[in-house]
Amino acid sequence: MSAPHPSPRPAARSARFPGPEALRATLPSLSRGVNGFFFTPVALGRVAAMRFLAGVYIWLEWWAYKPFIIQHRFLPEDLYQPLLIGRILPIPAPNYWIVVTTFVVMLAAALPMMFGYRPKLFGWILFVAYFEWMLIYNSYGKVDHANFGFMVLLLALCMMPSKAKWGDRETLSERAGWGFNMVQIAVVCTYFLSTWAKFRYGGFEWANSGVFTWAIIRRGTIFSDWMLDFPWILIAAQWGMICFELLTPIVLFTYKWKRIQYAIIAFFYCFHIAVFAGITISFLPHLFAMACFLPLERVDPKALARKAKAKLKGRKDIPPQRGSHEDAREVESSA
Amino acid sequence: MSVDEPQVSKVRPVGKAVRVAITMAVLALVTATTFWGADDFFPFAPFKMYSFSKELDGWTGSTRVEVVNAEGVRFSLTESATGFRRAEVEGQKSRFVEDPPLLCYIAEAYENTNPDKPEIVTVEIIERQFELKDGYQTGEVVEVVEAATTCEGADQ
Repeated sequence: MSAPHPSPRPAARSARFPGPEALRATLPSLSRGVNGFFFTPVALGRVAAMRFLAGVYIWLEWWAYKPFIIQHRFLPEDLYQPLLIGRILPIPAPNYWIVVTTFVVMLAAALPMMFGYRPKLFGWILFVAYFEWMLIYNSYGKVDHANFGFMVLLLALCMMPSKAKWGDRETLSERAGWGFNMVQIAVVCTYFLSTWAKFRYGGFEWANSGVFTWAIIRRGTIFSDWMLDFPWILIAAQWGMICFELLTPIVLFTYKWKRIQYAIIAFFYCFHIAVFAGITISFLPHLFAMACFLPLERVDPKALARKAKAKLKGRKDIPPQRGSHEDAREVESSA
Repeated sequence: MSVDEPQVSKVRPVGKAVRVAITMAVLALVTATTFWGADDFFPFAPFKMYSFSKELDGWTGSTRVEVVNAEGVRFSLTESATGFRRAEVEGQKSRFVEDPPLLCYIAEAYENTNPDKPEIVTVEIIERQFELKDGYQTGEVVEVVEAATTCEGADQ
């Protein structure tokens, strides 16, 4: 005979209102999700590589990418229109010496940080100097939006372990995982939120407007000028861009399937190459920040140098590991 | 080199809560500014690169600064000649249009950058406008002087 049924009322109650048992069952998977998303440990080799790349960008930007920032040292104070943060903080209007000093401090702090000497201390100095450098850049009537991911990167690098070495794949850190996750979110926001900015400033009809036409007229190249005769191509491209940008958050959730994630990031890089070829606009700081998605801990310059040396030496000496007669004959004939 | 067990340094639960809160705060700020913010809130400025709609029919334009120097030579100011970019001229254009004598600060920027060249006497902001129909250029071009001023020479 069947066991006596429990009274129906408690069962009905738990079907409508999840009891404590149900919550206790979902909490572990929720906490796994949060830990997996925010705190997947990252090898410190990537921290060393990103510190180096951030320094490379700082040393490149001032002459190869934005040479006009240093030129702001000649602008009279009246042309300085401080942003909110420049009005709230006691930051003086830039003059010749403020611009030059900020520039020198920024470059000087980048060097020890990129080579791993006291990277936290110099990382903070660099972050403050670069922030002021960005105010010197953006306070004269035009605000640039490509630097958000890079600035978050500089901030995140300050909070990562100091003892990070290139090629280190064995020391993992949840702190580094969190820092790079924040940079990755900033990178994705740059795409995703720019679509909503388009809807806000350009309306939902942005994709049907003449914005790419205008951009190519202003700064087109041989790769894009021909498209002016086929405006429908530009409209299709505008729709394509909206779809692409709205889908970008997907890359944040593919962290468990690395090949897929790397493929998506490769696609992002290709998108930027195409944009640069068409209207010579590059989001270089953003591209440097985006590198934190990639397994840079696999790159070990010292090991590569050693291998290269060993290969060169191996041509002169008889290599003991190799047993092949062909190699020995080759070596003897070249000696 | 033998590969040992990877050592994972973990964050304590309190630290995790703080870090998640920081990430959420950054995300909230940058999202809020997209809908309600302005460039003024840098670094949390809306990502409005190329977000404006440009009509396919009508006029579109590009702005430049033209000056006349003390020797009467007229030329366009490039970004490298002043350190003041076209985008910055466009950004501050409304100030210059409302108060044209402010254009003399651009002249001053040129004189600071090129101290051995003749001084600037006249500064103009000119917009070159192109007509578009259905997104094609019709070939019609018009030049409009949006602001002009004369400057007396650099401060000693």
